[in-house]
Amino acid sequence: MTLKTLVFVVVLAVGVGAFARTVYRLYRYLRLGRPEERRGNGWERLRAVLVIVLGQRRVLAEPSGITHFFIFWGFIVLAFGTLQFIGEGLSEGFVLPLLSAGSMKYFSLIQELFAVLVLVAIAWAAYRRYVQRPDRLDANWEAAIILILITALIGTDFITEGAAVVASGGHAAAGAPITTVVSRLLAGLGTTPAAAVIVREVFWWMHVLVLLGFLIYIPRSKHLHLLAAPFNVFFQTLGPRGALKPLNLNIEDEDLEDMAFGVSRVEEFSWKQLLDTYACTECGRCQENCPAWLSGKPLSPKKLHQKLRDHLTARGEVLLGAAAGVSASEVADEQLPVALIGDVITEEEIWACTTCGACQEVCPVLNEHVGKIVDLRRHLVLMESQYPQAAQATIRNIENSSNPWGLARSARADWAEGLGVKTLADGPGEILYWVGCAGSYDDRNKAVSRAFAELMQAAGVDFRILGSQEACCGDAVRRVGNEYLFQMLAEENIGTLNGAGVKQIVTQCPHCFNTLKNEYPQFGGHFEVLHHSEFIAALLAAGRLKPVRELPQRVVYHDSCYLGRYNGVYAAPREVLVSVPGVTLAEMERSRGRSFCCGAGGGRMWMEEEGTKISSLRADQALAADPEVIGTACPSCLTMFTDEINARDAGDRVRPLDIAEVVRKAI
Amino acid sequence: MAEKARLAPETHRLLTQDLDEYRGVLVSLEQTGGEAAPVSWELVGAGRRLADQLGVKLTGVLAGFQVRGLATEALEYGCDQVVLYDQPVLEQYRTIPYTTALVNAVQELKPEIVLLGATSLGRDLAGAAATELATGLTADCTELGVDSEKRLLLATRPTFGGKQMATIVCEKYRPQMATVRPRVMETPVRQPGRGGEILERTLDLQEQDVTTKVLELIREVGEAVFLDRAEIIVAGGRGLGNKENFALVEELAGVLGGVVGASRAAVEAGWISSAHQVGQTGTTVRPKIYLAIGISGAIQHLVGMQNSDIIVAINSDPDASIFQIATYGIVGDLFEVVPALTEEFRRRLAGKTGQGIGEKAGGRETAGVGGALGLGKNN
Repeated sequence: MTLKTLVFVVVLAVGVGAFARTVYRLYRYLRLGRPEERRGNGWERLRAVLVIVLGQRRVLAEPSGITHFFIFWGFIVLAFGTLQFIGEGLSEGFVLPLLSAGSMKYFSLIQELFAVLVLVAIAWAAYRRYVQRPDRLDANWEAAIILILITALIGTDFITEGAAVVASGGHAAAGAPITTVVSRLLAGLGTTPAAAVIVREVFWWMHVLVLLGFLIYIPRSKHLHLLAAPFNVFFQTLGPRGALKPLNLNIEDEDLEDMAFGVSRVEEFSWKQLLDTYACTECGRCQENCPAWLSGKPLSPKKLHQKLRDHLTARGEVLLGAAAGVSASEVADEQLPVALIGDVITEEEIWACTTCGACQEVCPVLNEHVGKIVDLRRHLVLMESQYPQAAQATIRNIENSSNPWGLARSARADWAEGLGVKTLADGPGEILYWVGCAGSYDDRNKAVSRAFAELMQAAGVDFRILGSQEACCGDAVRRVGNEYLFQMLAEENIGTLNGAGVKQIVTQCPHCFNTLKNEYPQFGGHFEVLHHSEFIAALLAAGRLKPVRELPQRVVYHDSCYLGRYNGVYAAPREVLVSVPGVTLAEMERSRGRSFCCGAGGGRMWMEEEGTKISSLRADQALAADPEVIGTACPSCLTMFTDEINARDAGDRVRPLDIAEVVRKAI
Repeated sequence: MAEKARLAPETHRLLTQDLDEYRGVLVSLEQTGGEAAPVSWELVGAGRRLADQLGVKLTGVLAGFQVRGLATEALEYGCDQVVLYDQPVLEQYRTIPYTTALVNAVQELKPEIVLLGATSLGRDLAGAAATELATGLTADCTELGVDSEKRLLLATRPTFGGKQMATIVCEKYRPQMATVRPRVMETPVRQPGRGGEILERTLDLQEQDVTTKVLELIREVGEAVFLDRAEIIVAGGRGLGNKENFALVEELAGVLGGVVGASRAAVEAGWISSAHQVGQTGTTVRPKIYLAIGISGAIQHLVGMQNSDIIVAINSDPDASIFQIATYGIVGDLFEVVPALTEEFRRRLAGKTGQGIGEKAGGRETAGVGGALGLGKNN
């Protein structure tokens, strides 16, 4: 073994050792989190890794993702070149398995091709981040270091190879056009073969150092996502996206780990939630689509993960250092007096979220922001009884009267007066119509309930309602963090529905829809739940409803978050609208998966909003499509749009209407 | 508390022994920082009426520190006697010392009826005392009466979300306890110089015996517009059109001696501060008269004011939801109606200046305004 090889081995060992040590540390921080079962469905998980990681599907959802695509694949291809490089360093004449002296020139050609692609992509990335400076990207040193390291990595390699050509007295390298060009440049600069030997050695060592520097830097920077993202995708949440994780509230249950409900310390998140913070690439797509951030609220979903990761690494170190047998959390609270709620994430940030899920929709590494926000709220609400003041009355009303306004439960079916609507007392019927609180009590939405009921009657559907037996489904209650009240409501409603043998349910409220469909199964309520858009579309398709009257209007459809993003219902409401003769459908710039929240979700409907209102932004977006009707399929969205249109005195130009009302006009 | 918990069954046995031992009406007088809660005097008025019907004494129980002046005041409002606990340990409200004071007074005087205000403090105290005394408690009453023959307190409260009234009696236990909603009973007229006995008592309780400590009092911030205590509220909504027009509301409120309220839409439009907002997100109000001007009546507003005694709605849209709950509805252009109303009130109230239609308007002045409006409460 030559001295050079020996030094190389030592340097390599130091670099790889430092890398492994950091990664192991990060792994141990993860293990501080609460346990969570994420195994099973291995094939489905592997498939997701293929599509989302190797196929870069989420990344490519935006044009700028092409840059990342080339850097990503460039890295994979160049990684083989690097392995070949390390092998050569360890033993002269080393050739990677499956390669031979004969195929080497093709290997180099591919290497050079991808090296160029990466360099071009890097240049574009640098231009974007430091010249274009989009709001969502931080023009910081960390990103610059990475870009410089990658460029240096490729640059030193080319110079090393080029110098090798000159040193050997040659003029060209087979299958290596760039190397050939570099060698000509070096020769042109008057580099003698003897000098080229030195140049080669110097740049060879520089390449080694840059490579190891990069390796050491990766797990300490946002480039940790290189390691974490594939695992994050593999361990993604399967099952319905709209379902929050239930809390075990049975304090007599021996399996209950402790009495701390929700999260007030970073180690109270699950390991998977902590892995999310490692996987974050800081691309800022979440922030760019977040209604809270765009309306000037302090919450940024991107900063949420950044801050959690930084806090985890700081606190994790202290937690791991705590002596055995003591409460590590309490030791850490004392040694590092930084409160997760308050110092790291403020209460304003926690309450600003509408749980619209736009952040999760666009996250290239499948991070989940909403569950974390709800966990923090759960702590505030269940452990400290801290709500925004305005929400308190609503929660109390729901608790006492099963509706947000504290109105009489006996008045729940008043909207149906004179329609001859039957309740379950008249037998089971074909389908249960779940009206929801807004549809039962709010005048504007009562009109929607009437329109929908009349449509069903026109189609000859033998439906039933629960009347005063219906209680709030608990969507907003759960999303403000009051899991206790939510589970009470869920159990009451499931008891009523199961008791009456209900199998099929239809509702016009996407929040009720999501809760009944995706969350009630957690508590033994298994029903086939349809949104009224799906049901009306089915009635239209079956010819049971025939819109005949002409309605020559331009309708822009607003996708509700809980119908669209969380449940994938995009086509049905549009089909319903275009079934009406004369209707022309317009789309907003942000629609379908990229739809922009009306501002009412996540319990925000019941809180005050400072500054620019989310609903105001959304109304502007809708009006930009120049509609005569804003079509909605959600009572909350309808309320928000109605308020906005009224506030602009635009009621004579534009009317917000539920899709059922639009069809009703045509029957 | 351990000793008390042991005592409770014993108390229970004693109480069920002889109900006839219990005579008299007792009201708990609430104060904070030496200032009486308005409900205290309302309770004295209600208690006085019950005591007169039963032919018994009315006793006030007052706990606090340096509050002797309030005891005298209670006599002037109508108490025959006041049990006064005046000691440092009672300076701030805390459940255990205040409960002990009330329970001791009840055990000493054995009243048949005990009334408290349905305020945050009153609700806390009432539950604790009723448990300790092992008797029944009817919470949140809006009407009180007595069956003089059976000597039963008839405590009436809304139920089923306000759809029905339930009258609840406590036949087998004494005292019969009830909490009464603030601003429901009339404040009696104070009679300066009216005398009575002050029974001074001292709790055998030192600061170190009380485990609850008040660390800090955090005052509610924001403008004090006292919507929740107002007897007359004049509220404006989006129908006013702009900030300048909101002056119409302020002017009418000024003439009536009322407080200005607003719908969420008006607040969000920036016409008035959020301290004036009435509704689900805002203040829930229960005034004697609520004038809704240019308010369509979104559900979140309605739930904040639907329990007002009289609701007068002025709106140009006859289909506006507000008319569904209004006592009186005026369909018309508010820019004609409101100035006309303001002028007419100004004229009719001009003769009553001596009575002072101002911020301090009590129940009687309101009746005066109601009279001027031609509004009776006999609906």
